[in-house]
Amino acid sequence: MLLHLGLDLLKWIGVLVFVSGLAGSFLLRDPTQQRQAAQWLAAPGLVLVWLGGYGLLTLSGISMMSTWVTGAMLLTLAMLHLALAAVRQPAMRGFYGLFAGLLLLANLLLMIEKPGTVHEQHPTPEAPDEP
Amino acid sequence: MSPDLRWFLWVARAEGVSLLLLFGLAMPLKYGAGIPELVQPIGMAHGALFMVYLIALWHTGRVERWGALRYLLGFVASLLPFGTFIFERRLG
Repeated sequence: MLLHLGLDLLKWIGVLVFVSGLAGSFLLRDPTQQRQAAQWLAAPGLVLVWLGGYGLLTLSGISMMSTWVTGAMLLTLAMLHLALAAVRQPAMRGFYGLFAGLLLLANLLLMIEKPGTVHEQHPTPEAPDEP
Repeated sequence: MSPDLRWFLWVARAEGVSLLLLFGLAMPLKYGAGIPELVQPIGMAHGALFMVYLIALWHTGRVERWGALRYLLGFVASLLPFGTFIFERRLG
């Protein structure tokens, strides 16, 4: 119970940090702050989200090969890539930001609907031999 | 040193440390002492850092205008123990 709570907290802190970093990289006006948001908030936030999420999956017995899990991981990578690209290419910031916003919505949908959930296969204990 | 390169080096160090923890701690504990519990969490941390490292490699390379060879070296370095630390020295 405590472990589940701790992992949940880790994941939510990661989500907050990650989304803050994304928002900063697209919305802040100062290029230095944009870069710092993408590199020092979004990137570490992604790692925390993945760690917390993986821990929760393990506790829940859900496979990482589930569609929603794999999809969410790919979407978060794409969002980080867009945040860093927006820092490199300020002229494309609006387009990348809009695209990242759509990916974030798609990610939320995956988290809510959880399509293609696959549960981990656990070996069944062998039945005792008949006398 | 540019801010982008400084950030990349920190990502590379984190990835390198996670790989060393995986190869040097988690796996010996699993195969030597029969304690497999560390492999999954450290493995996952390394996986996440590896993906961030690849993205950082790409973006930093674009900013620093690296050639294909440097990208390749950076990628290979991430697969080898101490590789990213050696790559960092080459960049420095």
